Amino acid sequence: MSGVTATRPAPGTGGLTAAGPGGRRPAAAALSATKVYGAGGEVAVRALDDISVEFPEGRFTAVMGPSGSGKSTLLHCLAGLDSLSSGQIVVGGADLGSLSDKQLTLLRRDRIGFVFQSFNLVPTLTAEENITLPLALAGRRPDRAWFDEIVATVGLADRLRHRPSELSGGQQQRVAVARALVTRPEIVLADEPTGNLDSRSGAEILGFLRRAVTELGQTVVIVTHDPVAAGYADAALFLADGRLVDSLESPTAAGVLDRLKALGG
Amino acid sequence: MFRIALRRLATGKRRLAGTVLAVFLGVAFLAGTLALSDTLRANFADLFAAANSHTDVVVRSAGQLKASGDAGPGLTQRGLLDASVVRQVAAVPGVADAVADIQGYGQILGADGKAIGGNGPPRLAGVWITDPDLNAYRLVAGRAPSTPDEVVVNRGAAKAGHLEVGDGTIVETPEPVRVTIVGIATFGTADGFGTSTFVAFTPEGAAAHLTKDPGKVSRVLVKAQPGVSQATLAARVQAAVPASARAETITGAQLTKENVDDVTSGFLAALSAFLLIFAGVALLVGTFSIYNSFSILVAQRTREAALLRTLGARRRQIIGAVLAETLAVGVVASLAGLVGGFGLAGLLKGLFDSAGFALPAAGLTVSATSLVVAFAAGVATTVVAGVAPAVRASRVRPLAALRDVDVDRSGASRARAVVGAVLSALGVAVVVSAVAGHAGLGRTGLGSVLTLAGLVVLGPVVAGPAVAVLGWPAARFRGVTGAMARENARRNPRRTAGSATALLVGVGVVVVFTVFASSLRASMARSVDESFGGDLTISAPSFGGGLSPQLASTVAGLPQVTEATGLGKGVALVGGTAEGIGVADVPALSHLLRLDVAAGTLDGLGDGQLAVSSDAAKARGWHVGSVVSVGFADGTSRDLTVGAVYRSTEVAGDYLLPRATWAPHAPQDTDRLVFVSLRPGVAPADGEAAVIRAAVPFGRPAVQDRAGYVAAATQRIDMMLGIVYVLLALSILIALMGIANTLALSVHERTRELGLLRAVGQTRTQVRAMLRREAVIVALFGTLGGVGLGVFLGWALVSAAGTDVARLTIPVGRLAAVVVAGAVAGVVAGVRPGRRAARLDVLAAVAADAG
Repeated sequence: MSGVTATRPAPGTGGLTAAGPGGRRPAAAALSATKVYGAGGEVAVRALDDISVEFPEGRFTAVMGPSGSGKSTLLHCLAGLDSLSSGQIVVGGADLGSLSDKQLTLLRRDRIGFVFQSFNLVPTLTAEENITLPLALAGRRPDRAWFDEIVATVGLADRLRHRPSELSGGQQQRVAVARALVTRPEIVLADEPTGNLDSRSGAEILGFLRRAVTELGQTVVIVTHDPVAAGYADAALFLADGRLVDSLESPTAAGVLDRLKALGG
Repeated sequence: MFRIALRRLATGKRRLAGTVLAVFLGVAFLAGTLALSDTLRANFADLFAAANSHTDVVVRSAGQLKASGDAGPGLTQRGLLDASVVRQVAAVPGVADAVADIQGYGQILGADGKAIGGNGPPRLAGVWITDPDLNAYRLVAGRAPSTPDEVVVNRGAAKAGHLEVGDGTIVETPEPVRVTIVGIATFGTADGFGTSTFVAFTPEGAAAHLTKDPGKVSRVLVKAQPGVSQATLAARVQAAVPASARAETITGAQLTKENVDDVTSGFLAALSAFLLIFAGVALLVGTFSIYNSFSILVAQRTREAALLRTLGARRRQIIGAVLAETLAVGVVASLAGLVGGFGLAGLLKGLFDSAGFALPAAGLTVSATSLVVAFAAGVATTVVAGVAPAVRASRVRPLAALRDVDVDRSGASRARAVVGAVLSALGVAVVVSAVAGHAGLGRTGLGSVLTLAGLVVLGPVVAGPAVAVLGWPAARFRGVTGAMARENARRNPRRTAGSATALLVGVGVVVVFTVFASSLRASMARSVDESFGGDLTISAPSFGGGLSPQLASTVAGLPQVTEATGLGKGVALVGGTAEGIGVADVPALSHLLRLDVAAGTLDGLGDGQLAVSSDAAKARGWHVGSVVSVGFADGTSRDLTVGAVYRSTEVAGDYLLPRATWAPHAPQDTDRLVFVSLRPGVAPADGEAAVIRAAVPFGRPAVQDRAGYVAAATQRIDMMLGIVYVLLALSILIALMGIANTLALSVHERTRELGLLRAVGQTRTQVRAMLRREAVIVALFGTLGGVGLGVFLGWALVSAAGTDVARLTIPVGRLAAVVVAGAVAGVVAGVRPGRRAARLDVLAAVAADAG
């Protein structure tokens, strides 16, 4: 059992990590990440309050917590969609705070995969075009073998020519997952990926994400409030009021539920 | 419901901005046009009222000839009165003063020897009337003329020609007359009578140079004694003048009204009608734009409308709410448009000024009628454009509130395809049959309207496939960004067709004019080129000028010249109808102008004969040897024999009279053109230089070689086309704003999608490029449709006008330029929506509600 602790990091150390056995280098990390909304003073809301955490390569981490705990904000900041008030976010060795908008965009395109709660596919493109969209935007051709592998993994081989409006919610989210994986990103971030799905489709999606980690060696971080979803992860982190308050290695649904109850979520 | 409509207006200001702007521009154009007409009418009325302010009665010749159509000097001709009438009138009881007035043509040359005046306002010459009550001009420098070679000129002319009291110059009447300027006068307090020039001689000078007969005067101006009314005096004068004088007597008030009516019904009516066409096109284009904007707004509010229906709103209330919104937009934009119209009136005047038509438009007068008309047209346009979207909104089913709004492919219904195809086919058939059967402009117009209606209905059906084709290069060579641009342009065919239709109409009109003008120019150039057999021409200014017949004889005397002969224009009663005629030494003319004789001979055609065109001969049933009665402005008439029938009318017109027959009846006979052929062996440049030198004393008229003459002959068409382009630019602008507006509304609607694209790595540059390409695709769709429609209708118009007027010429280069301009305009239209889309905050966009 190495590394997963909920203590404050000592200055200059790696701090809290969700690292697995072997202590591989993190795919992404937050260092004293703080995000304050509002102009300061009484009304200011600290969405992230000095969070330090590492997400090691090849691991599936679930970030949990009650609404308003800052878990989505953390994910958005990791994806370069939102910026910190202070602290650092490092993805694949790059300090996001030092990047221009354009560099951030290219980072999102090439090195980060993102899955939204509400599928968010481009309605005018087919499933295949949606999956390869980040590559197309970069003007690159998909690696056929890799494409076939992820399409097979998410089970979409017979749906590639369909448009989003011809797909079910679960199928659309599978397309979104495939899109997130297609660039072999440093990290796949998923924001409540099962929130809009029935439990069976949700279980499928989580199964695909699990396989992406186990079989394809990807790094996945999901935000969820569903204890069952957390059960697919290697580790669960618990946020409350913008702070990292707890963690659980190889979580089970029941174990997660207990922790959440303890947090009053 | 009304409150909802108003609340929407307040919150959706930005989304309505495009609509407001379209209405604003259309109304501004209409109001500006009407204001310009009003202003000109008021100015002309003031001018004439001032000119005739103290003239109580006018006696003039009853003989007047006025040819319809082409306006120019001498085309309205009134005869002269015997000078004895002046004494007879002066003896009438109640007459305080009766003076002889002589009115004629006099071109003043400036200090640089060049003719003063642009293309339009008259060059007036007359007599300096010493009774200040009967003379609207006031001396502001110098004195009245006392010898026949002394003149007073108006201040405007003096300024333009840099002439001062004491300067010597030349007045062409049209013979060049050396004069000394002894006085400078104002018209009332203004520089002149509108923008015309005026030169006044002594009565002896005027008789010598203008009437060429000391026993004749143009009219008698009468001042009444105090207490004698105009009408009473006119009746007495009428009774006192013998019938043999062939005089008519009118009051000063009648004269003013007649003058004003002449200008109003002639020049002003034509100008207003011309401008109103373009204001109409602008409003029509605006209607399509407005319709499209409201359709989109309504579509975006489908959920809201459905919610209202769920809560119990009746359909009528939904319609009312949308119409209330359109009404508010129409009222606000039209009011703003009225204000903008004042500015536009000034711009329009400037446009005509820059083309050389100086219009007397001081100040700005707008009648209440004009304001009401422009305002009502704006409001009506907006509300009418809003009806269909309003009805569509009311058809939203309550359940739609619960559904997600999907991509709308409703545009391409089968019924629409059938109706559109039938309408278009019917329109094309009517146009083609009208052309084939020479049915004239009426049926061609009906067919055009049907064709346009068919295209409008068909637009959404065609939009999908057309955009797929037009967007192919983008999709093929511009990667996924290009492919998405194409798909976005296709995803809502009705919307794409709607914004493209506005452009289609605008471009269509541009192309119709372009094709027609090109055909006209080409056939004119060809026939001028074919008919003109000489080497050089000397021409008078386009409008309002004339050349002295002495010029032709002077040039003919040059050692470098074989032959030189002039062609004048006039009006005569030919076989009972007033016609514009050509006046020339016909045998000499036939050497220099290939008239293509069909019967008889032009050689030896002399006094007592005339030549007519084959068209006129056919229409009148004349042939060589027919005797035709020809009446002149002086009231006399003469039987002439048709000596020849000719086919080429481009330069000579339909009737040619020998100068010997014409000159006795026309005191100020002028040439419009002089044709010159050079002696063999004379270098063209040397010959031209010699002719230019010889023409110097005649006000340096333009001397041109064949190519130059053809260019000059077609220049007027180009100038008019230029004006038309400027006038249509506004319509095109409205159409492009429609595209930009549609795109902006689409951006709003696709906020979430755009956010997603940014989230998965689309750069801002790519976002902008995507929208730019979409705009270009839509603009190209509209432009190409407009070019197609315009070429078709241009062909119809050219055919309807008759092959002798114009032979169809498709200006490929110009049309290509129109298409390129359409694409470039698309780029411009896509800039703002693109910038807005690129600026979207990614997270907020992804979380945004659709619609």
